[in-house]
Amino acid sequence: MLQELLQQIVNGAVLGSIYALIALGLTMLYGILGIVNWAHGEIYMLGAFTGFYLVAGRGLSFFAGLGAAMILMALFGIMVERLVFRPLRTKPEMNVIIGTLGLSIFLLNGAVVAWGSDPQKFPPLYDRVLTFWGASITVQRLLVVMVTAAVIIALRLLIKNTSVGRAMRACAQDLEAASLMGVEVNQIAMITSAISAALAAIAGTLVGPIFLVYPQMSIPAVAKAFAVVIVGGLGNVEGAIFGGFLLGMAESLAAGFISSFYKEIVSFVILIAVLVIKPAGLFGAAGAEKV
Amino acid sequence: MAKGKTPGIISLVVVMVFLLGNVAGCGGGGEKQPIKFGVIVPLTGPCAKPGTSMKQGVELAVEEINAAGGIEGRKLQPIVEDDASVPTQSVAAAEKLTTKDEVLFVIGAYNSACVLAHMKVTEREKTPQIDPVAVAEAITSSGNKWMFRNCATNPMQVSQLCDYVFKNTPVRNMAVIHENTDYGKGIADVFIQSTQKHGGKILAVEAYNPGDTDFYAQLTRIKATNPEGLCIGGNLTEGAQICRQAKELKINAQLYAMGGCSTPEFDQLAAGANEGMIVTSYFEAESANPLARDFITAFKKKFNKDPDMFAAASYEAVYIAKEAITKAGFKHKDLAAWRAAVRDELAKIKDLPGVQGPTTFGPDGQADKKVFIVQWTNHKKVILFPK
Repeated sequence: MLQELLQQIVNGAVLGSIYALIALGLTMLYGILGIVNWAHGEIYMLGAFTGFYLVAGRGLSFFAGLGAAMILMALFGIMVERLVFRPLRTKPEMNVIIGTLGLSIFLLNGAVVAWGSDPQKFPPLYDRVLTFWGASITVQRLLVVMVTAAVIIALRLLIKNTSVGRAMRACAQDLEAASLMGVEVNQIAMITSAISAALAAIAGTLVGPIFLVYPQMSIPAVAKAFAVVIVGGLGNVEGAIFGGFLLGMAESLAAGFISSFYKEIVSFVILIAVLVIKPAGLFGAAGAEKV
Repeated sequence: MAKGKTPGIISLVVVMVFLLGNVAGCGGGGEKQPIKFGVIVPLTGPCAKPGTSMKQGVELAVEEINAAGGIEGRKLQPIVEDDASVPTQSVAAAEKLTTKDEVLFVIGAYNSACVLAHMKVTEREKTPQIDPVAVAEAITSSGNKWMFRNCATNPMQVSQLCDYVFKNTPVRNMAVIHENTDYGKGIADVFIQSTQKHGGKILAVEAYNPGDTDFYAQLTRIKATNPEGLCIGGNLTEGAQICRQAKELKINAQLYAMGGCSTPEFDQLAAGANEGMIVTSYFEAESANPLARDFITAFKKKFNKDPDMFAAASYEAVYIAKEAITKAGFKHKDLAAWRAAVRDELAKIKDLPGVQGPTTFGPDGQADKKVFIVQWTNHKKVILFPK
């Protein structure tokens, strides 16, 4: 029983890390630029494919592939910002939603045309199984938790301690005022979009070897990411991290100790409960403030 | 102003509908027109892979039949619709095929939930349908006389598997993990019943949703009950990941699975975690059936890969339809009469040879088919039954 509990907590931590990692990019983009990015799941999927191509196709080591996928997807993020987000930024919110939804459909179907919808499998990488106190975890899964922790720390340092981070926080408070105070809003937008896409690439490349890589992996990912972001507070970085771990843990424990029939239901019950009790999300401030 | 225009538009629509109706009527009864039939398969979404195989099986059969002069000089023309494994899309596809395209018959789909949803449409439009792979029992047990199925149902294949396991192996304590759909629940129900009937024990029953990727929570729970056997009631993408994750969690149970997990794609995705797994299969390349061997050669030549059971079953379905269309002839007053005649001929089909073995439809439209029972051994399948 205790062993099972420990295993489910380990499972929940891995699941939570994955959710948090995907949700981080989504919440940053909203928090700083006010953009609801429906295409975030597709950017995660493209990140997974890029990592897959570099590691399985080009024979790069996993970490080199991870780094290269991050850089390539960051460039892709800049392109998306320039072509899609920037023209829409000053437009009504509905235009942004339709624009990113369009991007999502375009990227998903583009991927189906380019690679087909067959699932692809990474070559075995770190699939050694570690066992401690009766709980098992593969090295690859442990890697997800460790990289997520590293990303969270790095992101926190960036936002709190650098001038770019300060400019990001200024943009989050008020884009117009920030630009009047001399913040290069377009530059910050590009950096934010690049980081958001790079985070999605990390998530995709880390998760790819554990599961499978295929175009439709974007759909459940983005649905869960939105649930996480809304639970944590839309636009709130700490909220996304907390929300990710909360949902991952809740799903694992619910499946383990109530019934797997309730696995998905639990996260959406939490979502609805949060919306009823604290509509701005657990970490969200009521009102206009976003970060 | 808009009000003034309306009668004009209405009369225009009426004229167009009238004209279209006439043209379509000609299509139904005229000579040398191609014979249109509908194919509903998932070409996108989680089941795109088997869906594509089904489409290729149909294409090969159509190509062969048309190259040999069609059916009394009339060529077969498939109209393929993608349902993405989503029941609502499947219903929309069936609506389009039966009412707009006015097809003679329909082949499809892959997912039981999709067939259960759209068979109401084919029944309403009195269009005969052949279901080559979807195995939920209710498809043929619900009294829909337009539905024919040329594969074993869930109960048939699962109870055949259980019979084999309990007769030939010592495994008695079972766990089940199944997809939370009509298909998966059907497998789980029969597996549980058969196990109990044979005096075995069910230790755990867990569910997941199609498209899920992480099964650690369910598998951890199963591991805690320490079963000797684990039945996976699901499709190949999830099934392969369940195999891998069960191995990672050091679950040492004998694995069982149905249909979809007997394909080469499954073997590739499971990457060795499927070693020793026992699965049912509708189609085996190593079988002694000469039709099957010719089919494999032709399929390899056209698509440059080995056919799977989905391709074989869909290929067979086209030939079953061909037999019924030939018998029904072409002298019908309209499409409805033609469809009814084809339906009646389908119902009479008896011992028709096919790539999966002979087909005889029972009064409920269900063909009496046996499945193979095979075991994954070093990335190859060893046929356990029939010996």
